[in-house]
Amino acid sequence: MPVRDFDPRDGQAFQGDIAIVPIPPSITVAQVEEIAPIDGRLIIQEGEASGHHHAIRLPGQVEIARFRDDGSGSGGGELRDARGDARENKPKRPRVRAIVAHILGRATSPRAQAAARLYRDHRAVRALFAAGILTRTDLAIGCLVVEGGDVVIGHEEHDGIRLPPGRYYIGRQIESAGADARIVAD
Amino acid sequence: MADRIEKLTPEQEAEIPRLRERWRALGSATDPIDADTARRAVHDLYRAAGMADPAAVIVLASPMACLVAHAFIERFVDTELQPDRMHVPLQETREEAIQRHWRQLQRPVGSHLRIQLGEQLKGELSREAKLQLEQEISRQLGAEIRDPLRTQLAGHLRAPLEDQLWEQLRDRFWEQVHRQLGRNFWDRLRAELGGHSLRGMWAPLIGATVLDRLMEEIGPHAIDRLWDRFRDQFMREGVWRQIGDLLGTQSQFIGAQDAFWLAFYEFSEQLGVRYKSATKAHFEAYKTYARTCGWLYPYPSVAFVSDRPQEIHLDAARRPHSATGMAVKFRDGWGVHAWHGLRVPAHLIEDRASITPASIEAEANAELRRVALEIYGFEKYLAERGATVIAQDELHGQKRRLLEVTIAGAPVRIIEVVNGSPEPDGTRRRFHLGAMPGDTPHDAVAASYGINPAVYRESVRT
Repeated sequence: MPVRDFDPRDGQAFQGDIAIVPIPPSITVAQVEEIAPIDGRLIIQEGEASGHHHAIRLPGQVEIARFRDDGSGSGGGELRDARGDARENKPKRPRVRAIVAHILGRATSPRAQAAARLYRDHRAVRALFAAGILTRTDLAIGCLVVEGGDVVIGHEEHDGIRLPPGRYYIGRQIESAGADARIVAD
Repeated sequence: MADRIEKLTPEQEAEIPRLRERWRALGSATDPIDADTARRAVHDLYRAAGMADPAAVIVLASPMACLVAHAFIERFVDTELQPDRMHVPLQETREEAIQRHWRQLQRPVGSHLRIQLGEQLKGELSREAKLQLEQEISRQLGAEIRDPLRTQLAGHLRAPLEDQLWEQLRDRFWEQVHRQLGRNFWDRLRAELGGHSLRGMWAPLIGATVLDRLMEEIGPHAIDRLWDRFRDQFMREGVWRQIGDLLGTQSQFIGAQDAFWLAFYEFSEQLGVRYKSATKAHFEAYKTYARTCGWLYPYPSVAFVSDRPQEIHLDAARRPHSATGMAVKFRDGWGVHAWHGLRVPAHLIEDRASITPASIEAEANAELRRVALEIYGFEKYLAERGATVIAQDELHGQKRRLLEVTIAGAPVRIIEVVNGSPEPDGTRRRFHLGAMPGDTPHDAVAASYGINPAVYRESVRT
């Protein structure tokens, strides 16, 4: 699918039923409770009927066989790191490298250094609510921290969205269902 | 080593679409496979990957039949291989023996058969062709073949969360079998599998490689007969329907629907890339498997091979689609319904009369609701519900409408939005969601994401 660039200064980004909202610098994101990637993909949301994912393929992972970019082919889309070691939800190192590169002041390749982590941080979400950005806090999926380079949120049926380094609130969509509201499911 | 290949000749460029169509046709093939040829191909694939031959290659009519057969055998081993029935070699504890037997059925061997091959091919190709050239070929061969054959077809046949679903499949399947087939089931299964007493059958086997011997004993034909016997009962009692949605497994090989990468490496070879002999042998065995088999479920001692589908129906964008029946149907009757690439419940296609405004409104899933509306007719729905437009605006060139319809005498607002990404044919899907509070599409959409309308500004929408 094509990929579109997102400039956080221009507003928010939306990929189907998820919202990507830049978090202002005044709000900190606690990088404690991390939502772990699965097989090299940071899965943000999964469609219950379609089985499609809003997901970030993490940089620093290479595919063993070519074109196995969404893991839906045979063999389960196993990914390995550059050394050829199988990775199964192991902590990644790019962030550390990005920090070291930053300290040393070295210019580095964005593709090689980019890292994305998704955290649950209710306090940050409440702060977005207090700042008048959000009107409710119960739709939060997490706070996405992108460092070292751009990452792309992909989806099987939607164009990808390229996110520059920064911090983003990721939230779901709801719809009215009579007296109640329910999460939009696809 | 020969000179690195950096550029395609016009003749080579011209060959790409021909090769692409050849593999695409193979991936879309619906003629039945030949069971003996398939078995030979799988044996050759195991050997080429440096693995021991499987004791049995069981050829069945559909991926579902393969999964059910696997579940049969796995549970059979689980139930019958109790320690008191086992002869265990002295060097093993009983627990170790049971674990060993289980591993035979639970450990797919995809990494040996498939992933190692991909790794070897990729490494050897990279040494001979420039990365830029690889990307050019992959763009032309990979994307064109991948989307219809793998992402669309195979992707929609498989459910997400593979491991989890496989667990569910096993558990629910077995629950269904026990509940619906009753006590006589095991007796019948035993008769089918062994034809003699279990104790007698198992006793000499345990202590050797259990599953290998088991497979020798029961043979693929017994499973075939077993499947024939229970298939109709499963259909009648709805077992398939219940487990069909859970189709998925740890590692399946999707035969010629894997054409996108096979075509890529085959074309590279035509360009002059030479693979090492072992890699070449493995690649050839894999291609033979892809040409002669349907999906494959490989395990150390047994492999299950599915026949090809009997029917594959695609839309103009080559997505699984049929407005009149199953989009993909196998010869044993199992298959899936799909509407322009989205897998849908059978009744939406087979029983259109059951779609009513009320059933549409009751559908909680936005995608399925969209399909139901498309089948029913959105204008017809609006007319039936006496819809009026409350407000509308335009964003990114697409119209958004806030509508009010009357349901059971009460006004209900719905928001009509257009997908931010176009379909392959340039059209865009329209979604209708229960509108959150707000008197304009802007306010209602902002509220649906929990964003303050004063802050809400869609910079990008896909």
